[in-house]
Amino acid sequence: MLTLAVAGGDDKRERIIRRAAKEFRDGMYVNLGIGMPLAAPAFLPEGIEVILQSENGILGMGRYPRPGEEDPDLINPGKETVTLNVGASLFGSHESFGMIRAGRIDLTMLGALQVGMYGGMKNLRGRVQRLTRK
Amino acid sequence: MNISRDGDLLTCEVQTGQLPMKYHPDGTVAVMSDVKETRDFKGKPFVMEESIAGDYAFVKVDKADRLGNCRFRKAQNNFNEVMGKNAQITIVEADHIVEVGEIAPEDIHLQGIYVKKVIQSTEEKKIEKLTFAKDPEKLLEAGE
Repeated sequence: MLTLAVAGGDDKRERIIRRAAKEFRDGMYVNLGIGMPLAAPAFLPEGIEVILQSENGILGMGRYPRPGEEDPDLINPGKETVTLNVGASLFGSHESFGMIRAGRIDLTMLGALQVGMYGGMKNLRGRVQRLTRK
Repeated sequence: MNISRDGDLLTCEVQTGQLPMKYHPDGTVAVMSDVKETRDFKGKPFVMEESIAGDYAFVKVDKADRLGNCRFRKAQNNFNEVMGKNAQITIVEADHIVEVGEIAPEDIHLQGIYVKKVIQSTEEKKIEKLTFAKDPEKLLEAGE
Protein backbone atom coordinates (compact mmCIF):
# COMPACT_ATOMS: atom_id res chain seq x y z
CA MET A 1 0.00 0.00 0.00
CA LEU A 2 1.32 3.44 -0.88
CA THR A 3 1.39 5.92 1.96
CA LEU A 4 -0.32 9.19 1.11
CA ALA A 5 -1.60 12.00 3.27
CA VAL A 6 -5.36 11.91 3.78
CA ALA A 7 -6.76 15.20 5.04
CA GLY A 8 -8.91 14.72 8.12
CA GLY A 9 -10.01 11.27 9.31
CA ASP A 10 -13.58 11.51 8.05
CA ASP A 11 -15.30 8.15 7.54
CA LYS A 12 -17.47 9.50 4.69
CA ARG A 13 -14.42 10.80 2.85
CA GLU A 14 -12.62 7.50 3.19
CA ARG A 15 -15.63 5.58 1.84
CA ILE A 16 -15.73 7.79 -1.25
CA ILE A 17 -11.99 7.40 -1.77
CA ARG A 18 -12.08 3.61 -1.28
CA ARG A 19 -14.94 3.28 -3.78
CA ALA A 20 -13.11 5.43 -6.31
CA ALA A 21 -9.97 3.30 -5.89
CA LYS A 22 -11.95 0.25 -7.09
CA GLU A 23 -11.95 1.79 -10.59
CA PHE A 24 -8.18 1.28 -10.93
CA ARG A 25 -7.04 -1.56 -13.19
CA ASP A 26 -3.49 -2.90 -13.33
CA GLY A 27 -1.26 -0.98 -15.73
CA MET A 28 -3.56 2.02 -16.16
CA TYR A 29 -2.23 5.53 -16.76
CA VAL A 30 -4.25 7.67 -14.38
CA ASN A 31 -4.69 11.41 -13.96
CA LEU A 32 -5.83 12.53 -10.51
CA GLY A 33 -7.60 15.82 -9.85
CA ILE A 34 -7.15 18.02 -6.83
CA GLY A 35 -8.79 16.87 -3.60
CA MET A 36 -9.91 13.35 -2.71
CA PRO A 37 -8.61 11.78 -5.95
CA LEU A 38 -5.03 12.40 -4.80
CA ALA A 39 -5.68 10.14 -1.79
CA ALA A 40 -7.08 7.26 -3.86
CA PRO A 41 -3.75 5.54 -4.62
CA ALA A 42 -3.37 4.84 -0.90
CA PHE A 43 -6.21 2.32 -1.33
CA LEU A 44 -4.91 0.49 -4.39
CA PRO A 45 -5.76 -3.22 -4.15
CA GLU A 46 -2.87 -5.70 -3.75
CA GLY A 47 -1.05 -6.48 -6.97
CA ILE A 48 -2.51 -3.51 -8.85
CA GLU A 49 -0.03 -0.95 -10.15
CA VAL A 50 -1.01 2.27 -11.87
CA ILE A 51 1.14 5.03 -13.33
CA LEU A 52 0.04 8.44 -12.12
CA GLN A 53 0.10 11.41 -14.46
CA SER A 54 0.34 14.88 -13.00
CA GLU A 55 -0.85 17.45 -15.54
CA ASN A 56 1.92 19.91 -14.69
CA GLY A 57 4.23 17.43 -16.40
CA ILE A 58 4.91 14.18 -14.55
CA LEU A 59 4.36 10.55 -15.52
CA GLY A 60 5.14 8.28 -12.61
CA MET A 61 4.27 10.59 -9.76
CA GLY A 62 5.01 8.90 -6.44
CA ARG A 63 3.85 9.19 -2.85
CA TYR A 64 4.12 12.34 -0.73
CA PRO A 65 7.69 12.86 0.57
CA ARG A 66 8.91 12.12 4.08
CA PRO A 67 10.36 15.06 6.03
CA GLY A 68 13.68 15.93 4.43
CA GLU A 69 12.72 14.52 1.03
CA GLU A 70 10.61 17.52 -0.01
CA ASP A 71 11.70 19.46 -3.11
CA PRO A 72 10.23 22.85 -4.12
CA ASP A 73 10.68 21.94 -7.79
CA LEU A 74 8.64 18.75 -7.45
CA ILE A 75 4.95 19.48 -6.85
CA ASN A 76 1.53 18.36 -8.15
CA PRO A 77 -1.18 20.67 -9.59
CA GLY A 78 -2.54 21.09 -6.05
CA LYS A 79 0.84 22.65 -5.16
CA GLU A 80 1.61 19.79 -2.77
CA THR A 81 5.13 18.36 -2.59
CA VAL A 82 5.43 14.91 -4.20
CA THR A 83 8.12 12.37 -5.18
CA LEU A 84 8.91 10.48 -8.38
CA ASN A 85 8.71 6.72 -8.82
CA VAL A 86 11.48 4.82 -10.59
CA GLY A 87 10.82 5.10 -14.34
CA ALA A 88 9.17 8.51 -14.07
CA SER A 89 9.41 11.07 -16.87
CA LEU A 90 9.11 14.85 -16.80
CA PHE A 91 7.81 17.24 -19.49
CA GLY A 92 5.84 20.45 -20.05
CA SER A 93 2.11 21.02 -19.55
CA HIS A 94 1.58 21.14 -23.31
CA GLU A 95 2.88 17.56 -23.59
CA SER A 96 0.73 16.60 -20.66
CA PHE A 97 -2.51 17.78 -22.27
CA GLY A 98 -1.33 16.42 -25.59
CA MET A 99 -1.19 12.89 -24.23
CA ILE A 100 -4.61 13.39 -22.64
CA ARG A 101 -6.14 14.60 -25.93
CA ALA A 102 -4.46 11.72 -27.74
CA GLY A 103 -6.45 9.33 -25.58
CA ARG A 104 -3.40 7.83 -23.88
CA ILE A 105 -4.62 8.40 -20.32
CA ASP A 106 -6.90 5.53 -19.29
CA LEU A 107 -8.68 7.14 -16.36
CA THR A 108 -9.07 10.54 -14.76
CA MET A 109 -10.64 11.29 -11.41
CA LEU A 110 -11.91 14.80 -10.83
CA GLY A 111 -12.34 16.49 -7.47
CA ALA A 112 -15.47 18.60 -7.03
CA LEU A 113 -17.46 20.38 -4.36
CA GLN A 114 -20.77 18.83 -5.38
CA VAL A 115 -21.63 16.17 -7.94
CA GLY A 116 -25.14 15.60 -9.31
CA MET A 117 -26.48 12.09 -9.89
CA TYR A 118 -26.23 12.54 -13.67
CA GLY A 119 -22.66 13.78 -13.52
CA GLY A 120 -23.09 17.54 -13.30
CA MET A 121 -20.36 19.11 -11.19
CA LYS A 122 -20.25 22.30 -9.14
CA ASN A 123 -16.86 23.93 -8.70
CA LEU A 124 -15.62 27.05 -6.90
CA ARG A 125 -16.95 29.48 -9.50
CA GLY A 126 -20.46 28.07 -9.18
CA ARG A 127 -20.85 27.03 -12.83
CA VAL A 128 -22.21 23.58 -13.52
CA GLN A 129 -19.98 21.48 -15.79
CA ARG A 130 -20.70 18.10 -17.31
CA LEU A 131 -18.38 15.32 -16.20
CA THR A 132 -16.87 13.51 -19.20
CA ARG A 133 -15.41 10.03 -19.14
CA LYS A 134 -12.04 9.93 -20.90
CA MET B 1 -29.40 26.43 -19.01
CA ASN B 2 -30.74 22.87 -19.27
CA ILE B 3 -28.40 20.07 -18.36
CA SER B 4 -28.85 16.96 -20.44
CA ARG B 5 -27.46 13.51 -19.73
CA ASP B 6 -26.72 12.95 -23.39
CA GLY B 7 -23.91 14.53 -25.29
CA ASP B 8 -21.27 16.94 -24.19
CA LEU B 9 -23.31 20.07 -23.51
CA LEU B 10 -20.40 22.27 -22.50
CA THR B 11 -18.43 21.71 -25.72
CA CYS B 12 -21.56 22.34 -27.82
CA GLU B 13 -22.34 25.63 -26.11
CA VAL B 14 -18.75 26.93 -26.46
CA GLN B 15 -18.79 25.97 -30.13
CA THR B 16 -22.13 27.64 -30.99
CA GLY B 17 -21.53 30.74 -28.91
CA GLN B 18 -24.18 29.94 -26.31
CA LEU B 19 -21.92 29.83 -23.29
CA PRO B 20 -21.86 32.86 -21.00
CA MET B 21 -18.27 34.02 -20.58
CA LYS B 22 -18.89 36.91 -18.19
CA TYR B 23 -21.77 37.98 -15.95
CA HIS B 24 -23.03 41.39 -14.76
CA PRO B 25 -23.09 41.83 -10.98
CA ASP B 26 -26.86 41.21 -11.11
CA GLY B 27 -26.36 37.76 -12.69
CA THR B 28 -27.46 38.59 -16.23
CA VAL B 29 -25.10 37.68 -19.04
CA ALA B 30 -22.60 40.38 -20.04
CA VAL B 31 -20.56 38.52 -22.66
CA MET B 32 -21.36 35.37 -24.62
CA SER B 33 -18.67 33.20 -26.20
CA ASP B 34 -17.88 33.67 -29.90
CA VAL B 35 -19.13 31.07 -32.36
CA LYS B 36 -16.24 28.74 -33.15
CA GLU B 37 -15.51 27.12 -36.48
CA THR B 38 -15.57 23.31 -36.61
CA ARG B 39 -14.22 20.88 -39.16
CA ASP B 40 -14.16 17.10 -39.50
CA PHE B 41 -10.86 15.27 -39.74
CA LYS B 42 -11.06 11.55 -40.50
CA GLY B 43 -14.67 11.49 -39.37
CA LYS B 44 -14.07 13.18 -36.02
CA PRO B 45 -15.23 16.75 -35.38
CA PHE B 46 -12.73 19.33 -34.13
CA VAL B 47 -13.14 22.90 -32.94
CA MET B 48 -10.67 25.46 -34.25
CA GLU B 49 -8.79 27.30 -31.51
CA GLU B 50 -6.47 30.13 -32.43
CA SER B 51 -3.15 30.18 -30.64
CA ILE B 52 -2.30 32.86 -28.11
CA ALA B 53 -0.09 35.60 -29.59
CA GLY B 54 2.22 36.56 -26.75
CA ASP B 55 4.22 39.76 -26.87
CA TYR B 56 6.36 38.94 -23.83
CA ALA B 57 7.04 35.73 -21.94
CA PHE B 58 8.53 35.68 -18.43
CA VAL B 59 9.94 32.22 -17.92
CA LYS B 60 11.57 30.55 -14.91
CA VAL B 61 14.33 27.97 -15.45
CA ASP B 62 16.99 26.16 -13.44
CA LYS B 63 20.00 26.67 -15.71
CA ALA B 64 20.58 29.07 -18.57
CA ASP B 65 23.71 29.89 -20.55
CA ARG B 66 24.66 33.11 -22.37
CA LEU B 67 23.10 31.86 -25.58
CA GLY B 68 19.76 31.50 -23.78
CA ASN B 69 19.76 27.70 -23.80
CA CYS B 70 17.74 26.55 -20.80
CA ARG B 71 17.27 23.46 -18.72
CA PHE B 72 14.39 22.80 -16.33
CA ARG B 73 14.85 20.99 -13.05
CA LYS B 74 12.33 18.32 -11.98
CA ALA B 75 8.74 19.55 -12.56
CA GLN B 76 9.78 23.14 -13.30
CA ASN B 77 8.72 23.14 -16.97
CA ASN B 78 4.93 23.66 -16.68
CA PHE B 79 4.03 26.22 -19.34
CA ASN B 80 7.49 27.83 -19.27
CA GLU B 81 8.80 26.02 -22.34
CA VAL B 82 5.77 26.56 -24.54
CA MET B 83 5.21 30.20 -23.52
CA GLY B 84 8.93 30.82 -24.04
CA LYS B 85 8.63 29.55 -27.59
CA ASN B 86 5.37 31.40 -28.26
CA ALA B 87 6.18 35.00 -27.33
CA GLN B 88 7.96 37.57 -29.48
CA ILE B 89 10.29 38.47 -26.61
CA THR B 90 11.20 35.90 -23.97
CA ILE B 91 12.92 36.91 -20.76
CA VAL B 92 14.36 34.09 -18.68
CA GLU B 93 14.85 34.15 -14.91
CA ALA B 94 17.44 31.48 -14.10
CA ASP B 95 18.35 29.89 -10.78
CA HIS B 96 21.84 29.36 -12.21
CA ILE B 97 23.58 31.09 -15.11
CA VAL B 98 26.25 28.76 -16.52
CA GLU B 99 28.99 28.75 -19.14
CA VAL B 100 28.05 27.94 -22.72
CA GLY B 101 28.60 24.20 -23.16
CA GLU B 102 27.88 23.27 -19.56
CA ILE B 103 24.34 22.14 -20.37
CA ALA B 104 24.63 18.99 -22.53
CA PRO B 105 22.99 19.59 -25.94
CA GLU B 106 20.43 16.84 -25.39
CA ASP B 107 19.52 18.31 -22.00
CA ILE B 108 18.42 21.66 -23.40
CA HIS B 109 14.65 22.03 -22.97
CA LEU B 110 14.20 25.59 -24.23
CA GLN B 111 16.61 26.50 -27.02
CA GLY B 112 18.42 29.83 -27.04
CA ILE B 113 16.91 30.80 -30.38
CA TYR B 114 13.70 31.59 -28.51
CA VAL B 115 15.32 33.60 -25.71
CA LYS B 116 16.10 37.31 -25.70
CA LYS B 117 17.47 37.94 -22.21
CA VAL B 118 18.68 35.89 -19.25
CA ILE B 119 18.49 37.28 -15.72
CA GLN B 120 19.83 35.77 -12.48
CA SER B 121 17.02 34.83 -10.10
CA THR B 122 17.31 36.37 -6.65
CA GLU B 123 14.04 35.08 -5.16
CA GLU B 124 14.09 32.45 -2.44
CA LYS B 125 12.55 29.19 -3.58
CA LYS B 126 9.52 28.36 -1.43
CA ILE B 127 7.02 25.54 -1.00
CA GLU B 128 3.34 26.49 -0.93
CA LYS B 129 1.84 23.25 0.45
CA LEU B 130 4.36 21.17 2.31
CA THR B 131 2.72 17.74 2.28
CA PHE B 132 4.22 14.69 3.92
CA ALA B 133 3.40 11.01 3.65
CA LYS B 134 1.31 9.68 6.51
CA ASP B 135 2.47 6.67 8.50
CA PRO B 136 0.49 3.57 7.35
CA GLU B 137 -0.51 2.85 10.96
CA LYS B 138 -1.76 6.41 11.51
CA LEU B 139 -3.65 6.17 8.20
CA LEU B 140 -5.60 3.11 9.43
CA GLU B 141 -6.33 4.75 12.80
CA ALA B 142 -7.72 7.84 11.06
CA GLY B 143 -10.34 5.75 9.26
CA GLU B 144 -12.02 4.52 12.45
